[in-house]
Amino acid sequence: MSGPEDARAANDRGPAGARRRGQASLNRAELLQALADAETDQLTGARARAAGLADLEHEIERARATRRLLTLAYVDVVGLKAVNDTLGHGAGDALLARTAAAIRGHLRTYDLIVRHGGDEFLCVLSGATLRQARKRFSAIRTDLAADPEPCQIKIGFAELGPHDSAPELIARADAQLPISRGRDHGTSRAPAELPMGGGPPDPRGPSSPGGARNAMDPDPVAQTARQRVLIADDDPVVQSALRASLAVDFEVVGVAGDSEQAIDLAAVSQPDAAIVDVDMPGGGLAAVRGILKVSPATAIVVLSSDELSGVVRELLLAGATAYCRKGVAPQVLAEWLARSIQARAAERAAQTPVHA
Amino acid sequence: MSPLRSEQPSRPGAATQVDDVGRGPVRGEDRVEDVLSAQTIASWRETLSVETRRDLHRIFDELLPARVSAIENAARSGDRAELKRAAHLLSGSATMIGATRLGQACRQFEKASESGEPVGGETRLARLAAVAAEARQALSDSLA
Repeated sequence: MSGPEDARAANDRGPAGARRRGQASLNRAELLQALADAETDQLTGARARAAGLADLEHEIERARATRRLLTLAYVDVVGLKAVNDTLGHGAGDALLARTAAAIRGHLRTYDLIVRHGGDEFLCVLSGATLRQARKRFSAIRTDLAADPEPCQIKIGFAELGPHDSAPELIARADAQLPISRGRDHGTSRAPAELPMGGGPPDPRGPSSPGGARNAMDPDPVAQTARQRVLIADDDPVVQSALRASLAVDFEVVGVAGDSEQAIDLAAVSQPDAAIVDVDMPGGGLAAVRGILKVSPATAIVVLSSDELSGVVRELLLAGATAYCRKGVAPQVLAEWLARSIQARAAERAAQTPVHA
Repeated sequence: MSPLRSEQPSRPGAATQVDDVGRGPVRGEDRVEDVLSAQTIASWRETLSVETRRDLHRIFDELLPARVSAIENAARSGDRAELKRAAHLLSGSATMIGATRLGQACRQFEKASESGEPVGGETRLARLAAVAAEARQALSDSLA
């Protein structure tokens, strides 16, 4: 070092340099604080959306690198819009803050909580199984219900799959949100709001299977209105499309992303029918066999992207009642589900010995 | 009991049906599909509320870039198994929502990955990107 560099170094070590360094550290501290503020949702203390989504990407990378589990919970605060509309935004803000505090109280300090939307939080639980995540959120629900100003949350869970991107993981958890009570922000309809009720599909439509239905024929969809259906498909787009369209005529009791989850949900809910994707993780065949084992009365409709293939035939031989191709009109699928339920019930009745 | 089978082709206009824009019967992948299936879109409009349609579109729209990238990456790296998986996934989503041309483009990648034929170079990938953009815009106009 020589010449101007020597002079600059000497200067930096002197009082002027100290002042500059002090100023620099002050600016840096301010900058870091500003950055932290921008990355934090001031109302709830959760990570702001952009920063939180970046953190989620890191968590996913870390989970893959360390071969650890990761479960995402999509939390929807019930009734925020009504509170805002009737009691004012101050009350709505307080509801959000209480909810966030309850969530924070039951998650680990290193779990990521993100304010994803107006009334939505994402919670990322690294190393946690679905069961562990459910247990924690059950406690959160209990706390919120016991609050002097009780509130409710809806939760959808998704475990990180081998090919999940962050948007896919979020979409899968979003698709798991219970539909029965509807969503505040109108992304799904509650049954009470459905204009079609249990009404029949248009018999004149080109989508009626087997041609137009005679007006005097019994309408299988109307007959089986509010029967219970399980959806087993790992694609969030398909899940969302099926869930929304089937809610018109059926009660959707669950949405499973793999065969194991489908079997678990079938065992618990004993659905009248299940829609099973032929290519779902864990295998459509395993799902069909497993569902029929734990819920023998369930009618299974196989959903396939392709024409009748060998794999679909295998599923039908394993006990599935019908198959439809993806993209089938919702009314047609509803009708085929209803017919499949009838067919399954008739088959079971025929198998049951009659005692005089 | 004989299994039931829907007589309705899941891809409207795919088997014996004349589609809504009068392009006649369609068999296999010989012809280029319309960007959207008019019948599927009509079904969504008839069955779902505006909010629900927007939500469905949003989910598809958010996932689309990553899914196209997955196909591109697999095709460029020559990973046929991953290409089949990625193409099948997007094909299913696209068909379900009514983006028939995109579904068809994905099925071509899927078939190539299964048959051992070349999976396609940059030209085919560029076409996939263009078809995806086209579907995105058309769905935005029709569902959102």
